[in-house]
Amino acid sequence: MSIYLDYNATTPLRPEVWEAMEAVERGTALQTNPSSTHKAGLAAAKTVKEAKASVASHLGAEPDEVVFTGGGSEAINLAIKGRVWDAGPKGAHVITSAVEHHAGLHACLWLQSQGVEVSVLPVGMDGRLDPASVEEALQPETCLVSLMHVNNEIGTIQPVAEVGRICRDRGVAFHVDAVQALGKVPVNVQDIGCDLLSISAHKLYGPKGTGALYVRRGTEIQPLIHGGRQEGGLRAGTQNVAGIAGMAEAVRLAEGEREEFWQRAWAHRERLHRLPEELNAVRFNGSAEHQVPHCVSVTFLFCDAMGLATNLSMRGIYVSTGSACSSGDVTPSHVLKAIGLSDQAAFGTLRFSTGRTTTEEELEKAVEATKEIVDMLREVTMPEDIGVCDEDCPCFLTV
Amino acid sequence: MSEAARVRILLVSAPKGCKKCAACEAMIERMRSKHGEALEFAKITSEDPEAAELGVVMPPMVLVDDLLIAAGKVPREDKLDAMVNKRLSGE
Repeated sequence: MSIYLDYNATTPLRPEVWEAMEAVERGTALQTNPSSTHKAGLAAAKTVKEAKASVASHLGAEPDEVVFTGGGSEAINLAIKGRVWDAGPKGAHVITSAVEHHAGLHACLWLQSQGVEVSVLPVGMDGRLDPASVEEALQPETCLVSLMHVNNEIGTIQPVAEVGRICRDRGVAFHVDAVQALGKVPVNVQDIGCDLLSISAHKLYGPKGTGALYVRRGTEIQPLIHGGRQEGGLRAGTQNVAGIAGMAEAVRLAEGEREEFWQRAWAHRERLHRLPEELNAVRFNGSAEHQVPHCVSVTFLFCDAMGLATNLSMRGIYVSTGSACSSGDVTPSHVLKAIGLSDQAAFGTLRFSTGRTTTEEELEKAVEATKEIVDMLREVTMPEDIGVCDEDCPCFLTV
Repeated sequence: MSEAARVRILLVSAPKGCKKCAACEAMIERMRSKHGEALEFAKITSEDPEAAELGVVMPPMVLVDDLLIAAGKVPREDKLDAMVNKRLSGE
């Protein structure tokens, strides 16, 4: 038995996407390097061009405003670092939030280590940023505001359109990390009013290692990767044509199914939200009003989520915890800490994220297994032991 | 007990040089002295195929029947003993 409830981490490739990718690599017409001027190269260039037009149409953008990258993290780094480097890093100021994905947050913190001033704005207990805090933080030197549209851990939807208006009024570039938003909520760069927007294929049943950055005409950024003139000079390197074709197909399908998925995900969410009626000391994280339904962050107090997730994994049920174990050091999720959870509560938090093929039966089995395991683990867990590892903890991960 | 109840404790130990693994083993041996044959004890290392089947391997790992109760740490002896007693009494 295998019940996958970690769709926010990644999604399996869907058959139609495989077909689109296979058509590139194994189709009757040879497709090679899009930069080559022979027929096989031109065929590949055509595929990239069509994919670009397709992705752009779903974002409300023009085709030449789409830059294909090697993934969402790369797109985010290109947006943030590229904008700062173009503005002139000396004296530059960037604004971001405390609940950004590590790709955005660590890019900003790295820039900070290089002398760029970075304002990391707090959020409320629901994970939502107050747009007024962006307005207060703006300075004459601010060259970029970077904000994620939908939070990957707790599912909060940020007020990106309001922040977009503020940035436009003040003439400051605005980057939106839409990696977890596209295919889940409406994403239109004109409605948001952003200048840069990052997306990722593998969150949409597309291939890993493929993403895109929307760059509004007139927005100046420097490339991360120098070399050839691919992607308008913003991302050197021979394009991953099969991946790009797969991404375009994944985006097309996800956008076409978005509304139906939203409805189904709400039903799944309602089942998970009955947990407090069936189990003690359970709380939910995120926003009641501004929330994607498929991402449910649950704190099981007096329980170690790593132990809970591992037990579920042993039963073939796959979810995510909010903490990471690195070199024997367990650290709580920065997102959960930012919304005010204690370390203990953070270490007791699981994320369930449902997908397009999740069934009610699967969810019911996962819920029942979770309840059973939580009850048993609470028998043997002392609160002060949650999330504690000694310095010499030998930590191995098997493939 | 209508028929002899048994509880199985599986310890996944690091291949060598793990102080916490040794502490876990010593604790489980104390419990075996107390519960006798009702407590079945098996020990494998993190390099055994059975350990890989568990998914994430963080020795010491202590499983009581099919429940992983501790990973990367030594469980509380009183809590573990209470769980074993509960299972042996059929609760």
